[in-house]
Parts: sequence; C-alpha cells; structure tokens
Amino acid sequence: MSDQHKPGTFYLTTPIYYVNARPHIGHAYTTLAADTIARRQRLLRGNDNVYFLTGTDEHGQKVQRSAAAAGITPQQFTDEVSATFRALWDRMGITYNDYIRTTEKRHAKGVQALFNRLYEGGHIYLDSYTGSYCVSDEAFVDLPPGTPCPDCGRPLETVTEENFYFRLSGFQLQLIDLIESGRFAVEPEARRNEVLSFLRGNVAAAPPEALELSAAGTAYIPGALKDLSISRSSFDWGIPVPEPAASESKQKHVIYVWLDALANYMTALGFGQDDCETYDKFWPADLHLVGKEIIRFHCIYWPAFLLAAGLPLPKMVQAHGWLLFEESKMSKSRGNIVRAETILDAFGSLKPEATTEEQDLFGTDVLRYFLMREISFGQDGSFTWPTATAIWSAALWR
Amino acid sequence: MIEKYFGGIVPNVANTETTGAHPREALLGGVPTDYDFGAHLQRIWNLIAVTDGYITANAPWKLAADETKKEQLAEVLYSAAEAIRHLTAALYPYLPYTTCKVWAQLGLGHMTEAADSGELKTLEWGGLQPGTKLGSLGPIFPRAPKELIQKMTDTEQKPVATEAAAVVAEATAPAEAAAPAENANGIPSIAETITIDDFAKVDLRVAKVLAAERIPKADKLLKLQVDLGFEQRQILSGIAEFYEPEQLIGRTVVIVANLAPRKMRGLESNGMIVAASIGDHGHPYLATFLESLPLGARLK
Repeated sequence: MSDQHKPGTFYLTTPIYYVNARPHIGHAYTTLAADTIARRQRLLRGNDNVYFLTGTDEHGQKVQRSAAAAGITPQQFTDEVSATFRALWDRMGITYNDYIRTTEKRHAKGVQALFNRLYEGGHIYLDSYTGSYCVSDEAFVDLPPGTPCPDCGRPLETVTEENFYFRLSGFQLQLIDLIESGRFAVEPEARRNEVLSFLRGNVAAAPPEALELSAAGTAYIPGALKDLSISRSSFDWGIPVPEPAASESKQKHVIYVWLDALANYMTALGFGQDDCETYDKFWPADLHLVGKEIIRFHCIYWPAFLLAAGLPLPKMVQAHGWLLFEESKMSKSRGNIVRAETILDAFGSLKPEATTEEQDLFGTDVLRYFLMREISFGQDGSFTWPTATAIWSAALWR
Repeated sequence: MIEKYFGGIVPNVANTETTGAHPREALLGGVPTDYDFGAHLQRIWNLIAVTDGYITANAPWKLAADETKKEQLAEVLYSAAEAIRHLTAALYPYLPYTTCKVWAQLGLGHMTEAADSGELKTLEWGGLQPGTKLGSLGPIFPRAPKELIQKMTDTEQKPVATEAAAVVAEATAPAEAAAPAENANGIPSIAETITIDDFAKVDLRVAKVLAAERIPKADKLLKLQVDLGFEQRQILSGIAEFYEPEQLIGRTVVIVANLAPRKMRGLESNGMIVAASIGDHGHPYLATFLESLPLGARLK
C-alpha cells in the first residue's frame, strides 16, 4: 500500500456485530483496530475525508428465537443489545462517524432498493429448494440433515422453501479474475487462497476436460459456484421482499440476512434514499475489516451483488484472526469470554483521582496497546491476563 | 528538565532544523498505511530507546552544572522535546488518550484537533516553536500495583468471575495469606524468608550499557560492555532472543556486581543484568529507572 499521499477520501467499516450476544473482547479488538486505522487516515487526509462506520446486524431467525426465549419482542431484544455495543464503543472513545442498525427504516429502504435493482436486472428468480440448513449460520449446507454444521458444529435441519435466488453462478469467472488481478484485494494471502479455492471448485479432483483457465491462467471448474438463495419464508424477523417480486410468490418472504447485512455498508451512506451525498462522496469503501469466519460472505456474495447491481466494488477486504483466550476460542459455552469492560474497569482503577470518562479512556489505551502490539494482525492471537499486565508494566510505564 | 532549567519554556536555539542529529535521523518517515500494527509499534518503541539514549549520552544534568554550556543544554533539551513531539504524533492512532495528554504537556493544545485537521501529515523536524510554554506536568501512567496484577491473574483462573465489579472490588482487598507454590500462569510464589543481612550480600548497582553485540553461534547471548562510573565490565546476558543490541545501548540497567565471574562460550562474564522473567519462555524485561542516576549507585 503506497497510497500514503493520495489525496481523496477513505471509507472503512467494521462488520456490523450480530446482536445475538453481548460484546466481548473479540468485538473490541476489531473495533479498536478500525479506530486505529481511522485515526491514522485522519492524520493523513484530515477529518472530513475519512468515514468510519460500525453498527449492529439485527435480523434473522436466531435473533427471533433468542428474543422469544427471553420473553420479549425481537425489537426490544435488539434495542437492548445494540445499545450495549454502542455504549461500550462510547466508553472507549471510538471515533465512529455513524452507527447503523439494520432495523432502521433508512436501512430497510436501501436494502429494498438494492433488491429491486437486482430483480430488475434479471439477477433474481423464484424457485423451491429442499436441503440441510444451519439455523445458527443461517445458511444452507450441502450435507445430509442431522450432521454437524462444518462451520459451527450444530446439527443441520431439513428445510424446504420456495425462495428467491440470486444468479451467483454467473459471476464465478469475473470474481476469480478480480481477486487474482488484485483489483478486488483480499488480505491476508491465506484468506485470499481460501476464497479463490471456493470459487474455483475442487480442481484437484476434476478431470482435465472439466477445467477452464482464468485470465491469470489458473484452473477452475465452470459451474462450481452455485446460485444463492436470498429470501426466507420460515420466519418474519427481517426486511420484506419488496414489490414487484413479492407478488410472484404466494408466501411472504424476508430478504436473506446476509444480503440485508452486507448492504449496510452502502445504506448507512444513503444508498437508495433521498439524501445520498455521503454515499456519492465515500462509496466504494476502501476497507472492510472482517473476522476470518465471514470472509466468504464479504469476498464472494458481496462483490457479486455489487457487480450485478452495476455498482463499484470495495477496494479491499482485510480479515483478521480470532482472538483466543489462553489458546482456545472464546465462547459462551466454555465460559471463557473476556469482556472489554472488565479490562477498562481494572486498569481505570489505577487512576482513582480521574473522572470515570478519563479512567475508561486510559484503560482503553492499555487495551489498545496490548492488542495492537501483541497480536499479529491477520492471525489468531491469544489474550492472557499475565501477558497483558506484563506488557503494560514493561512498556507503558516508563 | 525544561521545567527545571528553562522555567517550562521550550528553549531558544539558533537553528531548530539542525538540532539533535541523532533522534532526528530515526524519526523521518510518515504514517504507515499497512496493517502490521505490531511492527510499527516496535519501530516506535525502538525510537523511544534511541531518544532515551540521546538524552543519556548528552547528560543534560551535567551540562546544566556548567554555565558555559547553556547553549548546548538548550539544544539537547530542545531536540528531546522535538523528538517527543514526533513520537507522540506517531503513537496517536494507537494511544489517543495518552498522546493527547503528552501533547498538552508539550504546550501544543488539543491533539485530536491537530490530528483531524490533517496538519500533522507533514511533521517537519524543527517545527516545535522555541518559546512554547509547557503545559502542567503530571504522571502519564500510574504504576500498576502488584495486588492488581495478582488479582487479575487470579481472575483468569475463574472465568466466571471476570465480571467487572468483581475484579475491581477484589483488587483493593488485601492479598491472600496463603499462596500456591506456583500458579498455572508461571508466576512464582514468594521465596522463603531471608534476613536483611542475607540481602546485603547481594551488591546491586546502577550501570549504563555502553556497547552490545551478538556472539557468533550463540543465539541467546548478548555481549555487553557496561559502565559503573568507576569501572567498565563485560557481561554476557541471555537476552538475545528478546532485545536487539542497538536497543540496549545507552540504557540504564541494574546489575548484580559481586557475582563470581564465569566463562560462557569462552568469554568472561563479570556480573548479571537484572530482569523480570515473564511467561513460559522466560521473556526478560530489564529493570531500569525513570530518574537519571549517577552510575555505580548501589540499590539497597
């Protein structure tokens, strides 16, 4: 990257966090990295030329079920959890320019505008499908029902749905070429290879006559990328499929949560709404910062939607690793979730004379330093209290 | 020191652009746009060590004692302040709260406003205006009390208790009497009790690293020349995996001065550098002082 003195704007995003759980230090890691990048870019370009977006992803079956389990409406549930995220970022002095919630009207309007644009362009059709579905990941998986989901380990359920489909298959070669040429940058290299091998199909197992070559001369299997179901009718906590597509089906559909969620990067800027000045100034995004588990959505589905809609692609998707706790992935079931609030409070207490706000910002600095210094970006890193305190004592206190 | 010797005003120097060749060389370069945060922070920390070394090497406290060296003193302190200004700007994206405090202490006002205006993009050496009044000085980083570290370490053993209130409440509670031999994090428990006479046998001294180099075919050892003020010594230290030799030059360290000499790799070592040892691999962190001290001073 040698665009250091490039004039112009810089637009970066964090993933919008799924409100199914409270924020933990993994979320804080992504957000702090994004805040660090945003501050660097403001140093280079000035405040007016940098836009930093974060927010929450609030639709889907999982949220609907969690709300039901808690005995409240999905809206109440998402209001509460989204506020928890936002309050944490405010405590930490995160300099986001906007905080998008996918349950906002402005977002729904933008998503429906994008859906219609795809529909009018002939990229969406209605069909029915029976298959194994992972409720947790909200995705169909090509495995028998009952087997554990390869991504999250939860058992797959059989679901038959009449769905709207997106003609993803038509973008296979275009995506391979864009990624191989670097025009759509995917970093780090390990993640780029992961995306490319998904796009190319199982080349090693295919007969030579089934292969074709990309512009860069690498082999791929035409047809390996399948069309994508982009609506659901089994639940209603989502953005309705708009007219005229809606009249085609007897069932009521909501838009697939990933199409809904990914669109936030544009809807927050005003896409599909009356005032799109910010959109015109900042789109396409310069950087989508993502966790490695959502790389496929950001590097295949998202650019394909944009290509189909005739919109410019983001310049780069940068994936970071998972933040581990003592070498194992943090999870609620393991009871090993570290919360950023704990760290802020602990280090903030070192400045008993300071205001609460100052204590929080001071604690945030300690956390920022630890995470940015100790964890190699793009790879998994581990959080441990002794390392955090040792780093703090050795480096900062001087 | 600017507070002490120049009444808190950045001293006037003949030509701001030519001062302090040493830290200046190291500080040229812009804001990186890649995402290797760790490497960038490491570079900044190396530059802090260089600046530290520059101050130590020029010993402003000695210059201050000599009326004829007032100009030299002004130049050294100006350069140090200017180096700090550059380092602060470089660190701002990582440590916004702390750097804002330092920026204000340098008499430069609101850091975030300066950063957001884009004016820090072209930070030139010599840009710090002589005559700038320093802001009020106060400690930037409070020291982490041992009990807090211990409590947070304990917290890791019982993830259920990682809720905020628990940690803070416990942190102020007195340390528990009975400690395990060594907890799972490799933090050793306190060794058996000794008398003051036992401790007096260990002669700990303040020393400065004059030279440091790697030893061929020895991955772990660094060969250091240290200055005790009244004599110089060679010490071999097993820190080569964690410190670059150039990071150490000019650094104030604590040594065990009356350790029997021993030979390693055919080279004699006269003493030992004192360091904290962290984690499974015994990552060393060298002990040092914030204040400037006469070399050879004994720790008691």
